[in-house]
Amino acid sequence: MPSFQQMILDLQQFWANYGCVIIQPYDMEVGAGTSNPATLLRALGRSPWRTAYVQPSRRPNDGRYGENPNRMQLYYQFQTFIKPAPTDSQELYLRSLEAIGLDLSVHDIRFVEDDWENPSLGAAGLGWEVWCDGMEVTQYTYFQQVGGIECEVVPVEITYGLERLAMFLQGVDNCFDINWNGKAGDDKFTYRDVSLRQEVEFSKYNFELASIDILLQHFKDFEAECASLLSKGVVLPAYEQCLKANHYFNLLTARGMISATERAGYISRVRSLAKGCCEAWCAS
Amino acid sequence: MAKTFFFEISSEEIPAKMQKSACTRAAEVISKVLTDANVTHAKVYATCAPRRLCVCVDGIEPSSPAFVVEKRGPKVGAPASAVDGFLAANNVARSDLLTKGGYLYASITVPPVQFVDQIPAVFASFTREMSWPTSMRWSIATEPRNESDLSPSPSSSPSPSSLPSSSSPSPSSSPLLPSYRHSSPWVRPVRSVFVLWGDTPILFNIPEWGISTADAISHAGTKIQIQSFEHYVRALREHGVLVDFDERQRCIVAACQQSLQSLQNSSNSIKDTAKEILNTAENIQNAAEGINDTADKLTVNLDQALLDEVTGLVDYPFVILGRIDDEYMRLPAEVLITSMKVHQKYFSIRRTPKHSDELCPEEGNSIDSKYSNNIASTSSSSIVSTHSNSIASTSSDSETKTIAPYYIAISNKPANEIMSRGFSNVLRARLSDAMFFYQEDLKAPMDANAHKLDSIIFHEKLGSLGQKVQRLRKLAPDIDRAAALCKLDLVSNMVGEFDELQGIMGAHYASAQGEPPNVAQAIADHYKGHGNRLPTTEEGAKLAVADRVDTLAGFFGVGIKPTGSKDPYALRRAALGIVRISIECVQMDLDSMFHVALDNYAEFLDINKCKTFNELVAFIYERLEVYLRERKALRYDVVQSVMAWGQRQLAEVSGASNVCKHTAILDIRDLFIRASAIQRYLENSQPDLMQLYARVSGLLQSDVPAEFLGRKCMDALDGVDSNASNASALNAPDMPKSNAPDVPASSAPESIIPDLFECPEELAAYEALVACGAKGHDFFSGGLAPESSYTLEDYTNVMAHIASMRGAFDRMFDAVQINCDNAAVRANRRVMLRRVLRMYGTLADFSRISYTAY
Repeated sequence: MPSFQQMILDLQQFWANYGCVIIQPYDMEVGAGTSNPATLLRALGRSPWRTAYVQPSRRPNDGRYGENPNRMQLYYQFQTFIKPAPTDSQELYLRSLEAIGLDLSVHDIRFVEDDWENPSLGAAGLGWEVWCDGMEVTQYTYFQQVGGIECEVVPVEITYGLERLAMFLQGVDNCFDINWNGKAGDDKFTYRDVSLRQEVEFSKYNFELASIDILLQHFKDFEAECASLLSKGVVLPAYEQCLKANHYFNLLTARGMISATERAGYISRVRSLAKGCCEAWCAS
Repeated sequence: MAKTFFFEISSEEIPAKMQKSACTRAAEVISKVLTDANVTHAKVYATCAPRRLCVCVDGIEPSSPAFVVEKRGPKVGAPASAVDGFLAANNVARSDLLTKGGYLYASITVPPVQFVDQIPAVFASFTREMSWPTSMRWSIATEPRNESDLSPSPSSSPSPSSLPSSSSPSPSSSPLLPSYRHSSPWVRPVRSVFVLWGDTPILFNIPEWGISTADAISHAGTKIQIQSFEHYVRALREHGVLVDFDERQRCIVAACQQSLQSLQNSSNSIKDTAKEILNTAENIQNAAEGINDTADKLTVNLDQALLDEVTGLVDYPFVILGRIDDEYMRLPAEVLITSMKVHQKYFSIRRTPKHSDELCPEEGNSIDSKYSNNIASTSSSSIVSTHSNSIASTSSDSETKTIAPYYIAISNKPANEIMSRGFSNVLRARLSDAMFFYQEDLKAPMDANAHKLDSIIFHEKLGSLGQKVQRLRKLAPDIDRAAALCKLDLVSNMVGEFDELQGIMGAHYASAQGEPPNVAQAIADHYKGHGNRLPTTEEGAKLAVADRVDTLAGFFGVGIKPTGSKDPYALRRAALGIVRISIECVQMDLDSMFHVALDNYAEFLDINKCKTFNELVAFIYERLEVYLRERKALRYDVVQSVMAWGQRQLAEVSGASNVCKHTAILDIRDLFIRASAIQRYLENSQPDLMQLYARVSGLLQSDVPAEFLGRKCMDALDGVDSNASNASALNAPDMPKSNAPDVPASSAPESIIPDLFECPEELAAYEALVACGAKGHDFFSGGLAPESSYTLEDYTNVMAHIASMRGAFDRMFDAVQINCDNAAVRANRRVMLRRVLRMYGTLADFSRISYTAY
């Protein structure tokens, strides 16, 4: 029964053996491993690329004050990104599940259609969510488009939901009961020990306390800065501003400050930033 | 000897929802492709499993017969070089040439075509023409090419740096660059193709997918040699794949029912009966604990769309029966059902107390037929009371009782304890989420969210949802509370998660904050009116119609109307909803509703009320016509007869004075009843009704002596009131013209002079006419009133009265010549015939009914 951290180490080892570049998490707030430039921008152009990394992912609206056994406002994705997608990617994926100790003979693994679209990033792909005994444990996507630009070489993105897999492997029903370090008794640290306080406090911040004026101002600032940087020809710093703007939009959503109509407007503003970054990336 | 052609395209998982229609489409496409290639074939079969699409065609001859064609060459006497060229091109000798009509012809024998040679082309056409709702491309490695191959030619691109290939790292250090190209589209990446002709695998390249066909199928890493299609099906079955979609589906249904049976028998003999289909006996025991009252009947909610999807998710189905935790049974039943279905693809289970005749709200088919039966013989008030009875059974409390605390999940592997626990855990997490939404939503009263509707745009030209609600309140002031609350659930958490629960959640939240049951039910009802669901109360029906009337009035007012296949705001569906509710639920005063709706918009929009109103009426009529034909299976000509009649009435009413103000939408429910009555009468009765009509109208139209053929002359002679005959001129241009002989519906009856009768048959016919007029007096005198509420029976009686005149009239026709030479006698007889037609004219425009059908 692997610990949370052992699972991460095993996945890293598995994909390292395959030839992926193991990078470290991107050091700012993103909603998913996809937003990491190591995936999003690298999906463009003709150059091959292989990488795998853990990405802490922030979803302010998913906070449940630590009370829901399965939803957090910050959780961990393990991201594998291979371009072009190898023909045996599904077999590789299944073997990676075995590598972290999942016995495929006793679990019901299925690929259930889930076409993926991230309107803020102008990205879309076709693929599945992978179910293990009815639970979605992985998002599996063949990118077709990023930043509104068609992918010249089609990559596959495999995003593991680490908490869900750990719950399976450890046989716990509540995410906060996951054994993080694999020790027993007094030496044991659980997901609760690591994350509960963070979930409670950030849920409060996301839903109740975040200053709306400040959020709105930050959004505007990041938006302006992104455009300005793009005009000066630096893509990666501009893209960071775009990610920041996106995060503040998510916070505004969690605060209930975005109506359905405004929502579309904000998404299109972020998308045009992302699109600008992608176009600039391709051009340089 | 004819052989079987079979191929399997093995891909990564085909989306489950697409598989059923893919089976049908694949069969159509292969059939078309073979026909296009002049290949005759027998039975075509296609099926889908998660990782394969299979097509099998029987009865293909190995070779097409040879045949001879004559090919035209140069003219006789053409230069020798031209003739020689023709001979060479067709590989024939000069002695083989024929001469016909001044041209030389070569007789060419086309050799037999071997089907085996056509296979690669047939396959390529199939993959090109087989379309998917969504498809994708993937990258195929091409042969590594030399760098120079990638260099642009100077003429085509002067700036090499702009090419993507130049962005590869250090191209100069490596002469070989990785190179990829896009595949042709398919639903998911294709991994192998196997083609069998007779018993022989056919090998060829498929460059579009960068693969070659295989000499065996592979399943789960095993290669399996295949000799025939039957062998293929058998071999896959042995490897745990039921390749036939329908068979998989039947398996699922049977397994679901079997496991329910086990649950119901659980108190006695769980262990014996259930082992085969269910994971462990222990699970059933746990599950069975919830059932104390074994008198309850349990049924699986076998939603067809869900069933089709689940069938596409497994190679071989196994059933897992599980329990829902008690704490979540407090959630509204619809939330449980939707959460299980949408997120988890689980089947929910309904519990019906024995001896209960209550309607399941989900099973609308029965509601529909119930209405149809009622409508034939009852007035609207009794239909409404039927609704009222069913309200009790659909209120939230009793609905919850109808859901049993179980689910059925379908897995692709025989279940075990770990797996079952997984399926339960994931549902628990989903329901825990739903509970969070539900409780959050209940924290604040609905009205507290009213301001949020102001920021949701209904349509940019038609204002916000908040404004729509204000308009609805004016449209339906007698159900103001329901109108005020009906859109508020759109800003709730639960509807944010499951938009299909709109209306339903509104009703729950209204009940929860103490609104009266009729308000809650009206909210739940107001989206209904399509599919299998109809409003269950008069108030709900009213709100449902008001919502659609407001939508239609607004969009038509600003000139947004459906065109061709484009109807982005589903206006046709809205109009159809109005028609259905008016006919199947309760009659509405659509006239005044549309007028109020247009007045509402006129407050902030510049709209042409009169024009818009007329367009709306025409639009509703169009939908009514479609509805009567398609939904009520009424004959085209019968529907036409009633619609033409209705539009004529409409023209007369609106022609009477100021066109807009008095325009009335006729009673669309009455039109339905008329059409039903006529169709039923024609199907069940003797042909008297139509034969009398045909003879009378025929006599009035033809058989006129030549000297009277001039129209004016005829009218003058027959004494037709010229004002009345102008009625048809009032028809709006888009309304179909009646083919009927002029029968002035609204003119004063012309008088018949019995003194002019020449024989007893004439008198007898007259007496039959008078008797019929007396029997149907109320109808004939009031039959034109738009507010009539005649029943199917009333119409049937009137038709029987009219038909009963046939004997007497036939005898008269045998005895006398109607269009005789004596003008006064002729006119008198024609008046009598017109009186008959006028009776028909109170029912419908019978000239549109195709008589030969009877």
